[in-house]
Amino acid sequence: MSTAHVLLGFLAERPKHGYELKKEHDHRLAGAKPLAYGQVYATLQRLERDGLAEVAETQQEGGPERTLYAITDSGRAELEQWLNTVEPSAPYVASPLFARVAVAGKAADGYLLRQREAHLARMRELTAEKASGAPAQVLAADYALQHLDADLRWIETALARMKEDSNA
Amino acid sequence: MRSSPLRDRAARASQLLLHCLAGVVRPKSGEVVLDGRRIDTLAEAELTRLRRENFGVVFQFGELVPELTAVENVALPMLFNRHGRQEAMTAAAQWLARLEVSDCAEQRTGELSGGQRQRVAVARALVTGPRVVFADEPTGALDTLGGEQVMSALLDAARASRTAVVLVTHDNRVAAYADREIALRDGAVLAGVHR
Repeated sequence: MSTAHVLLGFLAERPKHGYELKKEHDHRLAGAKPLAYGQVYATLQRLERDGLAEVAETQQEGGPERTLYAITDSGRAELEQWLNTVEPSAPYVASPLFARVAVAGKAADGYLLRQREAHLARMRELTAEKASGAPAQVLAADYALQHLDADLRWIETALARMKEDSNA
Repeated sequence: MRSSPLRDRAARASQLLLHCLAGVVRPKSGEVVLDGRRIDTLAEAELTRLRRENFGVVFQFGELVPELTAVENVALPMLFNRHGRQEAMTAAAQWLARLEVSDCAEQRTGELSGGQRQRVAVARALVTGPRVVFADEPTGALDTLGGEQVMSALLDAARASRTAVVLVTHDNRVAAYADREIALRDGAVLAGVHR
């Protein structure tokens, strides 16, 4: 995912400063890793360098200097293009979970059961969070839940195949 | 409250176990204990009474009585427990309100949507204030959001009335509502995970 495009998207609404962008990122992309301030400012400088955003105003009211950034016309064009680009389906599927099973083969069944429990425990946490979550958090929790569920269903299929193979 | 989903790839074993726990089927071996009291050896009449007073059931398709209205369906377990008709109908109406299906009270169950039917079934399971509700794939016939609403309604209501829920499901997302899981595979307990 491109942090630059996400920040451009937030700037398209109105000019904002770095602190506000960080807060907005962490709220609207609930479930994603929180953005570090350093990364926000590095990204804004890169957007400015590429002509996609510009400094609209520098405020200083007693406290530290705050720079207000605005999106440019070419920034809007770039954002529009990104929003409409279909993400290519990944040509390779790799995960540490799958790699362990590929290496261990049938000996992976004990590991798979423990992995299954860990995933289900996380699903329980997410389900509980959803009950009291804001809409952005519910959407993020749904996304995480359905991905964990996909892993769980694969684990169950893998265990069934291992059993079938050992019976054959 | 504790909720435990019982799970099996071939739903049959978990359903059989649910029926044993609910006192519908007597197990060939093993014991069924409720609050320290063995129930699988009780005489039929006593077991029936215990079931009526302590257990509620929610099935996948609601299994409501089609000739009756929603509110009459919910009142039915109260009438079986020899409460007066007025008292039963009042309690039923209150439960329909708690589950946000008061609008459907006078409709026959055939006119209800799947989600409404399951809410009525939840109300019927809880109206007698049971100790345990057994739910067999309660969201199996619903779409994702409909299922989510029924699960929340069931668990919120059960929590408020301090009723334990035993769920049978093959859906991990439904299982994730429970505090504890007992997984079955090929008829045997695979893993029991405590919170």
